[in-house]
Amino acid sequence: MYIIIVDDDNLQAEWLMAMLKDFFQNSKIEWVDTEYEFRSRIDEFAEDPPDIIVMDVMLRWTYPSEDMPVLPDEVEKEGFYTAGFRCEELLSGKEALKNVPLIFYTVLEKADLKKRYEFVPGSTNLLTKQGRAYLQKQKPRAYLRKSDEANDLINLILKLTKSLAVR
Amino acid sequence: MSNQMPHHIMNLVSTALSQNKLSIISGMLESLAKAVNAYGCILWQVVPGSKLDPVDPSGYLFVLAEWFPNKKTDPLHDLPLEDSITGAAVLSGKLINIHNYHEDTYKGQKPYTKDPFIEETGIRSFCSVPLKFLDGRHGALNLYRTELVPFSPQEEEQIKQLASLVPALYKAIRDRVNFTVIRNINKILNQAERKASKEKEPPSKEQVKKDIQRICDLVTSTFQCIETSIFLEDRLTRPGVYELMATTWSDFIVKDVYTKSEKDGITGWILTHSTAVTIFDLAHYERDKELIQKDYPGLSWDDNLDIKNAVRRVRGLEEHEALPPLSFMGVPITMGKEVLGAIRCSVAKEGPYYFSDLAKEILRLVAALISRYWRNWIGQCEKQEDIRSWEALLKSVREMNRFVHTELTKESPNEHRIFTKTLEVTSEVIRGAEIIDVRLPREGELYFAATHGAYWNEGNRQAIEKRRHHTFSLDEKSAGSLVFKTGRVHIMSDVSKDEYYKGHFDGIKRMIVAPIRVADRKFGVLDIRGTGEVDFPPHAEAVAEFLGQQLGLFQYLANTVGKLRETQTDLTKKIAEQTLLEEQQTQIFVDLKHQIYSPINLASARLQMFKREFPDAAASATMLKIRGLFGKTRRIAMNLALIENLAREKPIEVDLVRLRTEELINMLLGSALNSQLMMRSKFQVEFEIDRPTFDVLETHEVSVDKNLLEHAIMNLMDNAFKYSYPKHTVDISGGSSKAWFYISIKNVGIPISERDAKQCVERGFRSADARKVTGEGSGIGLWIVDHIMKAHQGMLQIIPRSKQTDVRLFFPLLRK
Repeated sequence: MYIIIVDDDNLQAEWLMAMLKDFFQNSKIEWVDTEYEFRSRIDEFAEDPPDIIVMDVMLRWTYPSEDMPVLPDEVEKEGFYTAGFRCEELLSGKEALKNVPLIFYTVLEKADLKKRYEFVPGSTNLLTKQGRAYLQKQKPRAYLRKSDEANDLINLILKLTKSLAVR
Repeated sequence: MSNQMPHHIMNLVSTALSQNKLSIISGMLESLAKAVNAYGCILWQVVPGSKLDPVDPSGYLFVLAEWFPNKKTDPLHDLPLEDSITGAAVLSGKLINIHNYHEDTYKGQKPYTKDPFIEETGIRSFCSVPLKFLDGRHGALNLYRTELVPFSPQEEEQIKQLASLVPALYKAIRDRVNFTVIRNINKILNQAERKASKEKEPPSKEQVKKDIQRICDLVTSTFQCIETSIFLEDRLTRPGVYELMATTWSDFIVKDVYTKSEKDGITGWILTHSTAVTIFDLAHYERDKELIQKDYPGLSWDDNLDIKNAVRRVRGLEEHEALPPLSFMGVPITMGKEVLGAIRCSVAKEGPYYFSDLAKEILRLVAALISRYWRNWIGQCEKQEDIRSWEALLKSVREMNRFVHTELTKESPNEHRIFTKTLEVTSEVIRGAEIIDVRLPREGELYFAATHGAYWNEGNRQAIEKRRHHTFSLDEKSAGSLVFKTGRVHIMSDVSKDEYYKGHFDGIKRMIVAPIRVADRKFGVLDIRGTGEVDFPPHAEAVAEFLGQQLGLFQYLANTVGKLRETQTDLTKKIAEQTLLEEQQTQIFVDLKHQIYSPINLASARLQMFKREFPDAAASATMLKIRGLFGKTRRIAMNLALIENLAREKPIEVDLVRLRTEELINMLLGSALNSQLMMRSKFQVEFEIDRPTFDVLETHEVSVDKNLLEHAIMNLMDNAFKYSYPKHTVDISGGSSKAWFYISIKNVGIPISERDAKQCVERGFRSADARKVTGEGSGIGLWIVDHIMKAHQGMLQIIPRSKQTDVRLFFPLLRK
C-alpha cells in the first residue's frame, strides 16, 4: 500500500502516519505538508501513483522562507480555504492520477463541501463533482470528518482501495 | 643454582590458581602437604579482636582451611593463643617444629591435645609456621605427620619458602572467586533484564524470586555457607515490610518478614541502621555480646531456633563433636539513602569459616547488583501501574471529550450533562472516590451544580433535597471556598484531624478539592470524597487537577460556542457593512470552526499516542504536545469570546492587579513553549527570554488583567513562531521609559512593511506574504490584542525592521 497524506498540521499528520503505519504494515506513507509541495511533485506522483491520497482541505501554500514561491492567481483569489479542492482538481487533470482514490479528511462539515461537490445519494462518504451524475466507474472521491479515531478512515481506505482493485 | 622455579612451588601456584572456587584453598593445602610429605595441613588465622601480646596474649586461632586425606572427623576448630604451640608460633613469629607430639614440650607447654581428631588421625609430629596475611591478620600454617619422622632442617626451610607464598596465593584465590561471583551474578541479572526488556510487561514476582534465588545459590556456593537469604521490600504490595525473597536454608528460616526495628534480630538491626554486620561466631554470641554491641550498638539476638543444633543437624554432627565458628555477615541492600532490603550469609560449611572483611565487601557488591535489579523491577511495576491508571484515565477522557464535542455541536450545549459525565469519569478513574460533586459560585456562595455517588440519594426525598440544595458561603473556612479562592488543589488525607470538618462529616475519611478553571478564570470546584479504608491512589491529585482543568475548558467552550451563532450573525452584519464578500464571511466562520475543533480532536488523538508510547521518552514529548493543543484551544476559545464582545461593541472589561516579574516570565515562557510545540521541529525556531529586563516590575507598578495579558501574549507568540524563518530565535524582553513598561517580542521572518504595520491591527487583515504561509486563522489575532491593550490604557506597536519584526505591548507605569 502506498498512501500520500496531504496535511499542513504536523501534529495531525504525525498521528495519522503512526496510526496508518500500525494498520497497513510495510506500507509506504508519504507526507506532503503544503499546497506548493503537492503541486511541485504532481508529475513525480504521476510516475509512481499512490494507492490512495488522504487530503486535508485547508492547507498553507508554503512555509516562511526568504524565497517563498509566488502565489498563483487562483490561490491568491481563493486563499488557503480551498487548497485541498485545488489539489483534487490537479489530480483529476492527470491521466495517471485521476483514478487514484482521494479522501477529503477535514474538520469541515458536509455543508462546507457542498459548494463544490455533491454527495452520492445513499452514501455517507462518496462525493462527485457538482453538477455531474455519479457513475459507478467514476474516480472515487470521498469525504470524512476528522476525529480522534483512525478506524473510520482505515475502513474508508480499505473500502476505496478494494473497489479500485475490483475494477 | 637453577633459575627454574622448583617443582613443588610451581605445583603449588598452579593448583592455587586452577579453579575459581574457595574449595581450591584446600587443594592448595593438599599440594603443600604433599610437597613436604606431610599427612595433612591446616591454615590458621587469629580471631578478630584477639590480643597478640607475647606476655599477656588473649584470644583464639581458628581454622581458615584444612586438608587431610580420608578425613573422618573435622579437626579442632579453634585454639587458644596462649595455650597452644600454634599460638606460640604466631606470638613469637618463629617456626616451631614438634618432633614428637605426645612427648615434646615447648617452653614447658605440651601441644594442645584436647581434640579427638589428633587421636583418630594418629598425628605424631608437626611443624607450625607463622604467617601474616595480606590484610594484616596473623595466622599460621601447620603441617602434620602421622609417622614419627620429624621435619628435617632442610624441610623446615622448604616449608618456610612454601608458607611465604600462602598469603599471596590465598588472596589471589579469594580475589578470583570474588570476581567470578560478581561476574556471574551480573550475568544472571543481565540475562533476566534482557529477557524482561523483550516483554511488554515486567516479569512476575515469582520470576523475580527465581532470579534472586539463583543469586542466593551462587553466593552460598561461593562462600561455602549453609544459609544465604535475601529480604526485600515490595513497596507496591507490602510497604514497610521486608519479605523473604529467596533462601538456601528454607528448613531453618521460619521468619519470612522483617521490619526496620532493632528488636527484629540482626537483620532488623541491619535494616534499621543501613549498616553491614559481621559476627565471628554466633555460637558464642552470649559470651561476645558486649564486644559485638560495642561495634553495633542496640543489636540484640535471641537464639530462638537453637542455631548450634540446627547446624549439627545439617552437618550430621553428634553433640560431643566440635562446631566450627558459626559466622554471620549481612549487608543492607540500598539505593542512595533508601534501604531496599538486606542480604545475609551464615555458617560456612568448610573453611574458611570466618566471613572476612573482604567477603563483606563482596557481599556489598552483590547487594548493589540486587539493588539495581530490584529497583528496576519495582520501577517497571510502578510504570505498569501508572500505565494502567493512565489508560483508564485516557479512555475516560477520550469518552468525555467525544461527549463534550457532541454536546458543543448542539444548538444549546447543556453544561449539566457535561458536569455529570465528568463526575462519572472521576468515579471511574480515582479509586475510592465515592462522594463527588461540582460546586459553582452564585452570589457569594457555592452550590451543588451536579452530584454523583450513592450518598446523594440516601434517605427520604426531603433529606435528599435538603442535602442537594445546601449551599456554602465563600466566607466559610471550607475546603471548597479555599480552593475557589486560591485556585489550587487541596488535599485532606485525614478529615478527622481538620478543625472545620471534625465532627461535621462523619464517615468521610479523605477528600480532594480541585479548582475548575481556565488560566485565572475560575468557574467552581470539583469535590471528591472517600469513606473507605483504602487511600486514594497516588496519582489522584494530578487526575483531580486535570479533570478540573478539563471541566473548566469545557465550560468555557460551552459558554463560547453556545454564543457563536449569535456572534456569527452580528459579525456577518458587521462584515457586510464593510462590504466584504459573502464568501469571505463564510470562510472566516469555517476557519473559526476549524480552529476550535482541530485542537480538541488532535489532543484526544494524541492521548491515544501517549498511551501507545508510554513509558518511552516519546511519551513526554506527546504529553507536552497535548498541553500545547489544550493551550491552543484555550486561546481560540478566548478569541471567540472577545470577538463576541467586540462585535457587539461591548468594551473589554479588565480586572486589574499588580503584575509581578515571575508571573510575567512564567506567562511568556509557557506561551512560547506552547507555540514552539505547535511547530514542526525541523524548522528549529528557538526562543530566548531576557529575564533581567523584566526586573523593572519589582520597583515599578504595572497593573494588568492577567487573563487578558496572557491571551495577548499567546496571540503574539503564535504569530512570532508562525512567521519566523527556520533556524532563528524569537527574542523576548522587557523595558521601560518614564511613563511606560513594555514587553517586546522580536522575530526574524516574513518582513512587514510600514504600511502593513499600521493596517495589521484591522480585523481580517493579512499581508501578502503572511497569506502564503497560513493554513488557518482569520487575521483577528492582532485586532484583538490591540483592543486588549486599549482596555489597559496601553498600546500595541508593530515596529518593522527589515527582516525583523518587533511587536511591543505598552502598559502605563503607575508609580515609582
